[in-house]
Amino acid sequence: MLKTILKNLPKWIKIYGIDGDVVISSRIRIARNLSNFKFPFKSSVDEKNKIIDFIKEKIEKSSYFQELNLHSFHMSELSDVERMALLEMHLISPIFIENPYGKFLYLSEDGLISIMINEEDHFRIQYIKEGFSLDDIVSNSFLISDNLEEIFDIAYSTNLGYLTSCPTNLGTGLRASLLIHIPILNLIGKIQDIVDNLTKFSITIRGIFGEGSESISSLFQISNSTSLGKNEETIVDSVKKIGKEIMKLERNEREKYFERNKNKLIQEINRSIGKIKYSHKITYKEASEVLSFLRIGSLLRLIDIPIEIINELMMKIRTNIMKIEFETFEDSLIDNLRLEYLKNVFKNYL
Amino acid sequence: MICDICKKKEASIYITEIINDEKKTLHLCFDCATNLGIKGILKELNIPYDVNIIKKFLSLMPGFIELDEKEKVCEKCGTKFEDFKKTGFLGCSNCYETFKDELRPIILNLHGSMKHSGKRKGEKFTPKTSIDEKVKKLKKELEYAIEEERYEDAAKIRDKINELLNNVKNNT
Repeated sequence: MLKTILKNLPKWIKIYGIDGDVVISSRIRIARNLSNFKFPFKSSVDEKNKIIDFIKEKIEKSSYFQELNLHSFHMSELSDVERMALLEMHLISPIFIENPYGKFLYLSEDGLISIMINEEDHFRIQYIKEGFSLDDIVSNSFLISDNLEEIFDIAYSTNLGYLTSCPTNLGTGLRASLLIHIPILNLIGKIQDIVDNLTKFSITIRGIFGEGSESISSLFQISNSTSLGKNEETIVDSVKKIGKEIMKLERNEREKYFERNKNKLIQEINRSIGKIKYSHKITYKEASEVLSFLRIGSLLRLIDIPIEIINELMMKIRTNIMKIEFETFEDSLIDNLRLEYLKNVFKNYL
Repeated sequence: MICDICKKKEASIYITEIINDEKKTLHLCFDCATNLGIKGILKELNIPYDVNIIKKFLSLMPGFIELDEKEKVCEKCGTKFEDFKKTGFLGCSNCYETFKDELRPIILNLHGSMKHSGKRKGEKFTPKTSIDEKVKKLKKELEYAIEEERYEDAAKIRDKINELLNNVKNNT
């Protein structure tokens, strides 16, 4: 089953959603803990496995969770490549692959829902959907956490709300985020301005793999940085509001840039196409930059490649996903295989 | 952030006072903080000089003055506050009760609040935005999308409006 999920990629990366020119996907994450167990950080592998058994037993009996039809995996039973590929698909977090023992994952086949057991907290519920769709997924995500609350005694205090292993997630335990592609703002050097402005709105912007990760191919993640003191809707609204502002900025600048630098842009896109046509191999970083330019080209209708295909490729070319596609563990081959893959997909378009 | 007093040096001490949701922050450089002393700082914040307030104030400033208290240990999981300082993680939900005083300034600094106002345990999450409002909002978005000639978006928004309206029809 895991192989199918890994080969197919999550559903949301293949769909061009609302406002999909800027917002690739929307994500809701909810943190919850059991009240009578030590947090995962303080628990031994043995204790974590006991927590998993306890959770599994109750979840498997729940008719709600049965209907969700989630597949489950012990992280320690997956290979390094499989774990890394799940991370590259945003289905799990970097912390979740650090030490796989005592960690357990529930995953829906379409890659929309994942529930990490024993990440920083006992439960990390994640729901992802294509495009600007926070409103759609917030109710679904809370339906999952509400159902957990029905079968487990969840750690909570009247003043601090839902208790989490790190105080940064206290209160609602909610993180709402948008995965955005803002190549023009990146090109004209506006990202730092945005970063500086966002802190006062309790919103952060960071690389695509969360805290401390770098931005690749102008992909960024914006999310709320506080979770206590505001209710869930206000938090989601604040992320939406900033998301809309950034979207407007990117669209405006895209038009302006296109008017002023049309030739330069066409040159850059041609150079990107050349890299695919005439090279023998390509690194992930190079390929990501190429795709980022092709994505602008597709949005401005300078090239005739459907944006859904470019979106999918932005994920597909990641190293461990490539390793699974080609069933190889040879690092030295990946850069060649990646280019071959791109050539093959683009042969009908370029 | 520049020091609020000398307006020259970089502030390294932030003191936030919240009374009835009203927030006031004083940014001080080390020199000005030393010169003002506790009494001066309280005066800047318009807080009356009172021994109990001073005691509370000192307990909120770890490292400023060490209080001769025994090191607390969470009785449920054995975590010490030192452990949290090193890792950033607490050991169990009871730690929040054990280290209530020590965590207070940290939580305030992170969230600017000490009061949960989201859904309560046992309560179901119900988004306040009604379907009517959602449809109204989407219709506006549809107008923008058409204006900006984003026809693919417009089609998707139209489908969503229809989906919402159909849901209402089916439910009634």
